[in-house]
Amino acid sequence: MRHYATVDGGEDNPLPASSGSILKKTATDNLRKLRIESGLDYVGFEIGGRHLDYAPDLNLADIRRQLDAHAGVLDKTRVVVACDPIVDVALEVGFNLFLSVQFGEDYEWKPGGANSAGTVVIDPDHRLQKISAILLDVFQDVMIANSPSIASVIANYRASGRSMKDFYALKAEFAREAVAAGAGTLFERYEPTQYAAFSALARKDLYQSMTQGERSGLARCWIEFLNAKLVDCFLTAEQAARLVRSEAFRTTTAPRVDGSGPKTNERTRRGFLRERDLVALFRDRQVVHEAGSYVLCIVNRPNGPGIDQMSAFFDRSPGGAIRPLKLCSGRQYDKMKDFVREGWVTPVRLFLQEAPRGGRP
Amino acid sequence: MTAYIGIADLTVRLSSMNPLNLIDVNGANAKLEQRTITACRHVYDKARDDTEKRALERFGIVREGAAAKYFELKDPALCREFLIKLRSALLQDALPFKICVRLGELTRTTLRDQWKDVMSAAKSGEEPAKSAALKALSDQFGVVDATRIETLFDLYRASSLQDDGAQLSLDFEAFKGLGIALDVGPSDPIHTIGAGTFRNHYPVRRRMNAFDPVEYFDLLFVDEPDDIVERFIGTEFTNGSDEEEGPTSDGVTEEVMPAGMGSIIDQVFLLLSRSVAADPAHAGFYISILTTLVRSGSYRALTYLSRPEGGSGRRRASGWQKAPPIFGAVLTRRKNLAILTKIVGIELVVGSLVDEVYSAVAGQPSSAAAVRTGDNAGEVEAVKADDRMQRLVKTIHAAYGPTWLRKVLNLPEAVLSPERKRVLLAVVTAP
Repeated sequence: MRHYATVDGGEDNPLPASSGSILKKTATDNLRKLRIESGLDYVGFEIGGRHLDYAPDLNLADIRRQLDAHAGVLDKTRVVVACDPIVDVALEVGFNLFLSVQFGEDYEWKPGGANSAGTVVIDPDHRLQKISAILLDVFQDVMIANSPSIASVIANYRASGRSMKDFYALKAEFAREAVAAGAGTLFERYEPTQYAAFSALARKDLYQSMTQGERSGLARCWIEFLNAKLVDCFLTAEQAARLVRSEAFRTTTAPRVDGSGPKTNERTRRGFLRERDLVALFRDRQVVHEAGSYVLCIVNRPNGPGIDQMSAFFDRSPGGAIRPLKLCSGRQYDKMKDFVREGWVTPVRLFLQEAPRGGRP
Repeated sequence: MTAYIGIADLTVRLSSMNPLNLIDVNGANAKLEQRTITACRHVYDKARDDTEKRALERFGIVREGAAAKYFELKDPALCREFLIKLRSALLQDALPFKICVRLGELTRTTLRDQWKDVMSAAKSGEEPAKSAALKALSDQFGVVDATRIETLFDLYRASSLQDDGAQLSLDFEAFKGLGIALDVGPSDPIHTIGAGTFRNHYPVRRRMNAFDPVEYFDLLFVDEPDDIVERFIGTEFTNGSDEEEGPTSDGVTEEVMPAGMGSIIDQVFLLLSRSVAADPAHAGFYISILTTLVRSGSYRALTYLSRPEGGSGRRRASGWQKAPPIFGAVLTRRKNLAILTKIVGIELVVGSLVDEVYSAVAGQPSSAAAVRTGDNAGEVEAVKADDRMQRLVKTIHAAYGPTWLRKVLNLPEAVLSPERKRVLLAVVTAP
């Protein structure tokens, strides 16, 4: 569960505190399609809203104190929405606030202060759309970053002794570079220094649902960012195999009894994949010839429907049965999308290190 | 001195509104208190200058009420802030509440103060006054002995309710709805409490299927022209042609903005479904808040598309576009309609919707406006010719069945004016 906090302003109330479910629904709608199109997974979570009391000169210390009154809310709050500017004061313990949103004359993304990683200023024109858009972007981005494939790269990054703050700064740097290289944003001024949401970068208009173009832009943003800035943290073959076999991607094949077990559309079990098969695949220099992003496509039911259509794209074992695994490069994955959409294939986006010389083990 | 006095209370304490115990009453009481305090704080922060602040500090806002909160505010603008703030906070917490406001005075006198003159007259007054005083004392207290009455004053320490306070309690009992009911004098409510006042109705059941609409003044939510729902179809998943007619439900994404009223409407329907689960008759209490939401929507941009529109990026779905979130909630969402169509008095909501769409098409204030001017003939013709009214009639017909028209035509003038009823009839009977 993640939270946003909204400052009560009576009639100027910028955002109801009860809108979390709408945000979640829209975000997961978008990300479900993103998963099919790019193999980038996501972790959906509840989004909660918190009231903050209005005060003429609200500062972050006040906000921190108010949020601290609720157990577990402070650490999980990502955005504060207020009408008036929030005074950023240095606190001893900073909290993990991504953005503060406030009203002003222009539509801009400003550098953050001591305790917030950025400030988004919203002008009166299409105010509601702009608030909705920025909140969706932040939470959507958190959902993507929490997906096991990206989270595992971030875990390697942190294991090398660097902090999340550095990671967010890298994101902001990448976003600035992308904009300098010609990627457009809707902001009149765009100067993130400590945090940037890639969803905001991919956005072409203020609508909540993403178009296909926006989704591919978002996927490209994340993949290029990881390739450009975090290539040293990509997974080894063993790490990737463990990830694919791990609980993060699991669901069991247990039957549904009393509502337990996997629900419709839940991921199918991949525990049956043998580790050495996966490791062999990830060490194949024919495929993993350089560090980068690949999509592991797993056939859900090797003797299930659609097998005839798929047989052209998957290898066969000497016995003639289809091999249920294929590691695709980005372009190869395009051909798999239709199977993923049908539910025949499960895609797992993986960021892999270059396979070691010496070929298969 | 006259001021705005009011009561705010939750309706869940009445077992009829919460028979399934879906709302934790103690928690709800605590929340009501918190939200009332927030509203007080908000009003204090909104006070324009130090004089106003000093006045608030001196007299206070919430006077009494362990359960129901009795409040008093002298300034109309601040009273308005208080009401709007409290309403939005309670709705976001999904708490059913009602607030009644009238002009008057919540009392500050104790029994002792109130009877001071009578007591002194009984002790030492002239003869006719003295016997009258003694009689009054005997009527009220049963005894005339001064010492005994002093003891009674000690025993009964509650402040004595004046007429206004008692009337307020009666208003509160009588108001069978959710939301704000203003009884701010017969003259001109706009000048007393501010813009956004309109005539609303709540139904009082007369027989099984008949009700009497009772008129009262209500406050609109703030008007946000941008708070509209747009509906798109994904180009990537549909291979249908542009020729398809009529709304398609498959693959249509409704864009409800989190920053708009959408989530508050969801909360109202959540409460409604709970109340109906307990007893369908309770649904009538929700007519008032539904009407308020319908009247607060922005219909200026409302359009109807008979076929999908747009190119490769975004395609607008056919059907209603750019409607406020409440429009879809009361007209097209099947889950809601299953409840709404059975409510006795729902025509108050449907009638308001027709009136609001008419007002938007004609560019006229609504029939419920506190001060109304008649429609002129040119606009009537324009409305008759407008496609949206015909489409609206068809949509309502599909949602509420053929009897809606007769019911709507029977509504009071302040829901749908007689001219508008005539136009509606002309639209329905148009070839």
